[in-house]
Amino acid sequence: MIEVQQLVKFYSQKFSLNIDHYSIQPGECVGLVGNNGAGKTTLLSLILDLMKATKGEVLSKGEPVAQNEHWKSYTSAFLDEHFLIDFLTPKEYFEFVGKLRGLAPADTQEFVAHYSDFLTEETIQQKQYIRNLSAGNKSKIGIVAALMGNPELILLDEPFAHLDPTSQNRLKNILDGYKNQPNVSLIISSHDLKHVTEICSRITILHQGQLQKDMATTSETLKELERYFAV
Amino acid sequence: MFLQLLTHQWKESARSSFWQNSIGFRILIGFSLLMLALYCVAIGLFMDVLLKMAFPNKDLLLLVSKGLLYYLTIDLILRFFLQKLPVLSIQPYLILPIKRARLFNFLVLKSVVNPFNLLPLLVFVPFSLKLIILSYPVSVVISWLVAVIALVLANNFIAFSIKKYIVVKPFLALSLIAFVGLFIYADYALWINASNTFGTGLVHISNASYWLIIPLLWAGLCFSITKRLLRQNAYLDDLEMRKNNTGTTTRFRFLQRYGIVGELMQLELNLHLRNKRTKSALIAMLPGILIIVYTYTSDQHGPFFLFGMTIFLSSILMSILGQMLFAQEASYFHLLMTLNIPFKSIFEAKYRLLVLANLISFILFSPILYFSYHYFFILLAGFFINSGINAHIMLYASLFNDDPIDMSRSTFFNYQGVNITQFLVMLPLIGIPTSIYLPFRLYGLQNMGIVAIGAIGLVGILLHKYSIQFLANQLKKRKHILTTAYK
Repeated sequence: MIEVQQLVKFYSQKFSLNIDHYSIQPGECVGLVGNNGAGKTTLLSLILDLMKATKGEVLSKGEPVAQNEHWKSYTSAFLDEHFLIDFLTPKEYFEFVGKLRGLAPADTQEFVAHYSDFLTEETIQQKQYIRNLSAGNKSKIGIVAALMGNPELILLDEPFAHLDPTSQNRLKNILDGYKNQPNVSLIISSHDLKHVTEICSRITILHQGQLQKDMATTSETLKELERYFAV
Repeated sequence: MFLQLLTHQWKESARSSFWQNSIGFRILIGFSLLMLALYCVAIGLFMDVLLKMAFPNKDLLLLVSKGLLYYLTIDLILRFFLQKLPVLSIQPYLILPIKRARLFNFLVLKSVVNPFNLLPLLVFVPFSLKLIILSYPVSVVISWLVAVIALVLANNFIAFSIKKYIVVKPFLALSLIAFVGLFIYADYALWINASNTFGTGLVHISNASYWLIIPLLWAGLCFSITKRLLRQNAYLDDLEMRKNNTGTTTRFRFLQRYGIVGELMQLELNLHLRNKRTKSALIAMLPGILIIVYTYTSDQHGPFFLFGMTIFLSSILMSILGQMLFAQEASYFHLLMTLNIPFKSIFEAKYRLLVLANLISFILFSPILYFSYHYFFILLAGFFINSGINAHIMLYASLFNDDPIDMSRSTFFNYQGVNITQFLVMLPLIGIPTSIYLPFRLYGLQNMGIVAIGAIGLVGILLHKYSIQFLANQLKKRKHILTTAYK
């Protein structure tokens, strides 16, 4: 699905992302962990072609993302507030994104209704502009929009941040549902070790731009991660 | 403590993003401000000469005192619309152990440093000096000046209080302006006697300086009312102004037929309709437009000047909507770059929007026909050249505008995103049509010149597909620069 080759990107004065080889298979769910400045968001941005790599390239389904835009038809993402349109109401935003992902307004409504527990009534029904919503509600809207239209690759940057405990559990259930879908790959970065180990089938640790560890999730993984990040 | 707050204030302005603009731009702004200040001083110094020409036999002080009523009324209205109390800036201090009373003293006093209060000083201090030179008694002049400053300050304070109770709505704004116009007219036509009473009163106060207590008390009263009001309302829910404003959900149905392009146009229209910036830019343009329309009625201006004005009118809406095309979408540019939208559609949508803006400008100003056919045809030619050539230039320039814009802020005293490319873009708007027109005009073929402008524009419109393809390729090249800049 995703193939990273000899990727180099300077993202701060001290560190650079430097990944020799890294690949993600269809159907895999990868958890990216690492402290601030480890390069998680940089890696996600490079996969989305939002940054230009200093060296090397990212291939999506064998095609370089920087060369053509085929990847856009099956990729969706929610990294931060830059992925929301703050002067639209949530409904309008869903309709806009839905349309671009090939959903008719009625389909969009059905899709959003499906996630009404997670979004909560008030977020959907209110005729408020997104800019007036709380950080948690904004984040919920971005996440649900990223799931629209059957994408084959979903990138989420710290989706659990800002969410209340109930919503975190609901999101975990939603993302768990993708486990049995062999053609959908997920890349989730998170600081919540417990959540990622429960959802992801594979954990990748980044440290100061380097690939530190890459392992399949087992019952021991959480303990290992806690040991790794212990102070 | 007061000193601390003052130093923070100083740091806020010294580190404001304005100073990150290029040096040339800063000089330009600084120079314009200096010129403005000099104009004010000049008006103050030569007011007596001007007034002597218009009203030869009146007492100078009385005359100015009368006029002051108009000034203060208009000043209050302008403050009501433009002046904002920087309440938000005290939010971080609210939880610190500082006495609230002190904080609000500071906040309200701070509002005194403000162009609305500076301008009258620049006018009336030189004017007072002139009065002394013209052998008015010094004590009278000083009392008069103190009274004027007190009245201006009272305006400064009271404007905030009014604003707290009255929400600015377009209808209210228009009726306020209409009311003030009517008031001034009624007074001028001597239906009522307001300015006379006010003027003689003010002169009386100046002559017997113990009456100065009245304007000073008035200013003090306004100060304490505003302070009280602020203290009562200084809670987070007030500060954030999150007045559960239910959004309007306008849909332009006809746009739905155009698929992705229509959807993008809808999005951009909403961007303009639901944010402050475009509206305030339009309001700022309004007086200018009225002045231009007025110039058609006077014979003093040459036809060449009016040619330029007409071309300018035809492009006015496009220049507001199109100045910062990508920068104004900075907040969701990342989304646009990852959604499945062909770059060509992005430009197609923007192009159609600009053409729509030109069409609206054309229809809006077509009553120009009333003045002359000639200018009507210039307006029409302007529509073609704007849509055919200038729109493409604006689209191209937008790729180089890498200052993100916060569209929710008003344009007044807001230099965000103002940079050299923006000025350069404005040049061809009038420059290109003029340079086509000039050679024809030199040979006395004005009408041919207008036809040529229209024809070149038409060719540009017909060929727009190619230019959009070119622009899409350019976006591909500039994309990473913009995504980084709009972070």
